[in-house]
Amino acid sequence: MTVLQAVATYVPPVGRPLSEVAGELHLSASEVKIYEKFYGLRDYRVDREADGAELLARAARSLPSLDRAAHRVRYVLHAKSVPPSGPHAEPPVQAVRVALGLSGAVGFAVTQHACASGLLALDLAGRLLAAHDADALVLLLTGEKADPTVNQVMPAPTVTGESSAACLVGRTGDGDELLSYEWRVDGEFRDGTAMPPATRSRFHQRYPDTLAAVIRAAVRKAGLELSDLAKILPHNVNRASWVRVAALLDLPLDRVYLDNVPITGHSFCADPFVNYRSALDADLLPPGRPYLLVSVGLGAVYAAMVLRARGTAGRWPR
Amino acid sequence: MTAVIGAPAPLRHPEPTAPQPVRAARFPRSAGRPAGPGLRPMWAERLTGDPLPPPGDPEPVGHAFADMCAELLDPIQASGPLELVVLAHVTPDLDPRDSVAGALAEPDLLVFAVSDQGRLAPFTALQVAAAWPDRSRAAVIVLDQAVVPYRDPDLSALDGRFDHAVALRPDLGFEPVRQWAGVTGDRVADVLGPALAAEHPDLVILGPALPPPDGWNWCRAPGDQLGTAVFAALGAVLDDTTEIGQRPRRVTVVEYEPALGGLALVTWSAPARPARHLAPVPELLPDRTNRR
Repeated sequence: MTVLQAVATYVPPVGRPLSEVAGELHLSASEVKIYEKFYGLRDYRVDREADGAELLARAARSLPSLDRAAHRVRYVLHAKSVPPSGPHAEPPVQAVRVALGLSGAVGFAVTQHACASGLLALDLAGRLLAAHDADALVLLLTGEKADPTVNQVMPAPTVTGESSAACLVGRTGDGDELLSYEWRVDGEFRDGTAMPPATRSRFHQRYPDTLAAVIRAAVRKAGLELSDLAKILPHNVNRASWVRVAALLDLPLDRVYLDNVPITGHSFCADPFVNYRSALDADLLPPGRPYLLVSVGLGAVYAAMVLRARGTAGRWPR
Repeated sequence: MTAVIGAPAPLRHPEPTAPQPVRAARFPRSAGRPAGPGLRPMWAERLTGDPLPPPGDPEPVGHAFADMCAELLDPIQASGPLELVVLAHVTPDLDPRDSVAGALAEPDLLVFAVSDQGRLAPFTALQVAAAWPDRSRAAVIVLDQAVVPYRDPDLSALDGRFDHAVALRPDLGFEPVRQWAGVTGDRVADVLGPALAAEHPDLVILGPALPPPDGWNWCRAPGDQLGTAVFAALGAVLDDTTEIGQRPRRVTVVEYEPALGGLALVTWSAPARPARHLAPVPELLPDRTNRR
């Protein structure tokens, strides 16, 4: 069994309105209006004082249980969307591993599922722990620097920010049980940011149906119905795409947690975990109810994961 | 086995008929392609320090990970579909726009990468592959691009002529990986000694930063490669000793990453040959004397 034991997040405190950063992000005035009115985006939330490792450390230090559990952490995983994140000899995961006093843990990055790598890494965490003592843990980190060029090359209408998340994953103990994980890769769109316009258009057409199919498959694999889900905790690319997907799933839009879209925008692999923390704090994940984490990565990697909330919602302080 | 791919006159060995646990390939840089021009600003932002070569420097060329993977996986997949491919790399893909997971996409084939662990990433990839026992048809692809679009003195000693890649088949003789974190240089020998005693290899292949082990036959991997070094050396050992009786039965591959204090090893062992002349096992009838 894979258990999501605790989640903490770091959301940069200052969000600058899109109208203020339009030049930096190469957005025209009319694009800003469309982003705000149609896509539900509002803020560009980055922390220019923090490097990539510090973004991760700020989330991890908010885990109240990490100090007590540090000696049980066997692996530190950094799920990344964009593989190059600094000179190859100074990766953020190694810097944060040392900064958190986890020098006895093995640290590495998980990539190639782009912004869906976080869900892959959560599944991997449980699998790695199967070879260890029952109380062993994985610290799973998500979040990256969101430089202006990254924003320019994103094929979807979105604003990418620097929120991060840290998760403690175990095989036993209090926390939420992983019930299923489904993924799909559509190789036609492998070019990611370099897709020609016609291919990009086809990707946008196919996206809602494929994402809905992966969500249905994950729910079915968990032995559940869509109506059983307390919430869908999505990637925050934009609001409009979720309107289409919710309609395809025949779910009310309020079943999809979209409150963070205007606040954080999209934050690489961190979105589902940032949304999880927010939903938990808002008592939206009742004990015993399943919920779904979902994300889509560049290169057309779709992933969905069903977990069941256990214990008392809101049990983990931020 | 080792193949040179993309050279004007490739030194390609004939494909072996049996699946190989290790297959190394070299890709001449002269046959590579440049990173796309749109990538330069992204590299400049993602990297710190002095990320870009000065104007006028030649555009760096290399082989995209997706292209190298395809070359190595084609012969493996000819014998049947794979269920899992784990990439391992030290330096990043020169063209990270191309999704390798997308390039290799097949129904029910899981593809992803591990990195940011220096020379130990291939060991983690083998360990990770073992975490999917339900996907036993697996391959680990180790990738070394010697070129990055910024000045990096750490890479100055690397082979500038070739990009390197190695395909490993975890199910063809690789035993469980052992890793240690937080091992300072002065403790390496203390950790490695008992570890090798437990592995009991015929031959030890060492990464460049490791001291020679007492009491074991050993050889050192090439110093001008990164993650591929020790596994390319393993491939060479297995290539050069194909005669029955010459090939070591157990080879332990060891690598150390000083910057991380990380030490890892994995042992490859020859599969046990089926016995051909066993005497028939006498049937034991359940009578009073042998029944418990």
